Amino acid sequence: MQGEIIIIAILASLACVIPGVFLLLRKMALISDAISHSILPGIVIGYLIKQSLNTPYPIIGAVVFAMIMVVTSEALHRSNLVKPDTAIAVVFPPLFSLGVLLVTLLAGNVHLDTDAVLLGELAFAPLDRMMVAGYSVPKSLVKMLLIVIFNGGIIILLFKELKVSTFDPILSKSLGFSPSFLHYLLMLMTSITAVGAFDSVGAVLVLAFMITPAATALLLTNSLFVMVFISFGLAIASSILGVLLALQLDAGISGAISTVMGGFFILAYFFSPLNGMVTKLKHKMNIKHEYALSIILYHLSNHCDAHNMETECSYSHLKEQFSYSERYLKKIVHKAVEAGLIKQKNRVFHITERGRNDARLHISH
Amino acid sequence: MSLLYDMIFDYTLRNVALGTFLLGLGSGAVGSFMTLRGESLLGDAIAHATLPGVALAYMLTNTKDPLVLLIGAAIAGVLGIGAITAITRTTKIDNDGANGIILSIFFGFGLLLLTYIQKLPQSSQAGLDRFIFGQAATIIAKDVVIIAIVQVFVLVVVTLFFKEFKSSTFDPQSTTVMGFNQKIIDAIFATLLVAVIVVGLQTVGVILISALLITPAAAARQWTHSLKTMVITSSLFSAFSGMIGSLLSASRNNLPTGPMIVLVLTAFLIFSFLFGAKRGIVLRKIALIKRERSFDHNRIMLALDNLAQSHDDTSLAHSSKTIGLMVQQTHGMHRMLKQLAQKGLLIQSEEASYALSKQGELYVKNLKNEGGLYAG
Repeated sequence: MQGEIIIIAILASLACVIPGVFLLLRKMALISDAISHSILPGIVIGYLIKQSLNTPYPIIGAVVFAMIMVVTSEALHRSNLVKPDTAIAVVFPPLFSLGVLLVTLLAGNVHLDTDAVLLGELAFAPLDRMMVAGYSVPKSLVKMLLIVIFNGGIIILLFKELKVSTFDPILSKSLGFSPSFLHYLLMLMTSITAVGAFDSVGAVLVLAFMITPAATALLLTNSLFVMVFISFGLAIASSILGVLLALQLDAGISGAISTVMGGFFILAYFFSPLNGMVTKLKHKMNIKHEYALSIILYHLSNHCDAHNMETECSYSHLKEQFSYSERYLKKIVHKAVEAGLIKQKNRVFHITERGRNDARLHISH
Repeated sequence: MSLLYDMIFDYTLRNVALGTFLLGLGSGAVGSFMTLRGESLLGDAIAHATLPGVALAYMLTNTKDPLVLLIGAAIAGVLGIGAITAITRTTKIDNDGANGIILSIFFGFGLLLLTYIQKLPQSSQAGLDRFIFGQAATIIAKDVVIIAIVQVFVLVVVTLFFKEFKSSTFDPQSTTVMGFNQKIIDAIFATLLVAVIVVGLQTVGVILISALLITPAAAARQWTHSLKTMVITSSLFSAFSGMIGSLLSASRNNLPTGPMIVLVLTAFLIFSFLFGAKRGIVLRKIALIKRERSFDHNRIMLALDNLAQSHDDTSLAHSSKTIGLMVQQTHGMHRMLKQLAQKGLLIQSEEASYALSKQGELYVKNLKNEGGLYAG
């Protein structure tokens, strides 16, 4: 049971990550949010036909409403009535409201409630089962597997095209891949994934599953190919850890998985070897140290032989001259002594031959 | 009329109506600036980001005092804005992506906490739930007072800093040149944004509160080109939609308030898209038709002038067929010629034959002076 929940969670997050990577790179992250909200009325209407989420009808309804949202918001900003972001911001709330209203009005006789809309019910997913080749498996597992295969198939077949049209739409057009076809394909993928993940993840957190692993991966690499695989790894790890966390706390699973995904993002934000905050800070400090060292070496190499070197090369003079704090100066000097660039005698510094060469090198740069 | 009666004399409905009306005033005003700044989706992100603040405030203090919960929400909201700014400034993730990440991480964490609280033995989560979709019926007099204070604060600040907000919205560079500190203006604006979102949470809910900001502003934009008028119109749209929507939701049991308000707002928006005085689709269409008609009329007048000059006789009438050939158009020829004759620019000599009148000659002369077909 627990194993099945984990497998379904992994499949759901993998399915979401595939369109998510491209949505993020195309600066369309919030369109996926808008889509995952807008499909709600479609799902409810589709649900009503067979009283079940595991039929094709909710998917069809969802795709129809996703397209309504995409086409309406594009038409609105193309007709110059509002800006593109405003167009999205005004189109999805009424659609979502319509969905919530339908859910509330039908609450008496329908196994859909607002909690399910928000949270999904991953914990109950293994209860709804079907027979496949003699084995009893959860329906949502089969559904998510099919979506993973669909999305995976599309990116394996169209990786090159998606890549080009994402980074250089004009080149893509001149090479003969229609960017607008790929755009709508991506929208289709997003809406199918959103509706598939809907009952396990919930409408709002589909966005977390799509965007967060992709964004974390973006902080860790500059290659699209690597980014896709890091996103997969993060999706799998977050799903396993998230389910375990949720079971530990007896709390909602999709919220827990999103939280773990967020944790990974924060880690990457600070500690990414590529551009993380801590890495950047270290780099900055290194440059600062190097500068301080070279300026001291230069000063010493100029004054070491002079008659007033007793005062010019003393510790207190260096401190005064460059207005470094005591601690900082000690640190730099210590480093320089360790590296054999300078020597200290009776609180007066002598530059070594190596130090002289180094200073010359720094100046010539 | 019974609804109006209840609104005045029923305690709950009076609170609901007053609370949501006040709520709309400030959010509509703040929303106007947001749409113009191209930050329409920021409100959505911040609203979602407040959820863990509500949950944590409850867990730490174990009270459901709205003031405590709202302070928690506000802290989370401010953290959310800070995080979005930090991500866009320091990484290659764009604004959209940063909004999405913060929205979903914070909201996911909030839901984790809410579901955790729900399962705790002594406490019930009931009451926190309403922050997700909003429940106007739970507004009590104390809430109305909180809402009123915050909205008055927001409106006063918007009025005081109107000039600064206006300038930083349309031309950030010149704002700095004029000596205003852009960072301080942004901080003030962010405070207002968090304030209007936070007080709206328990009425409209985190998911839909941003519609209360953006939708009325988008509607108001269709009616005016002046920022001041837009802010006022947007406030009023928002206030009345809030009131109507919440009354509708309160009048039938348990209709969620947020969605009802959004549907009313959207009705206002669609009406504005169609009939808005400055940008509305219908008026634009009418203006287009008028322009086309005057273009066609002018072509006919010029064609007749041309014919008159080549015949040395201005009073000679030409058949509509000839005129049609001259302007290479037959569709609607009779109608347009009749319209021109009615205006007194043409003289209809016999069935379907027309010549320029004295007034018409003058009109053509003016037309040529003013620069051809596009005049008139």
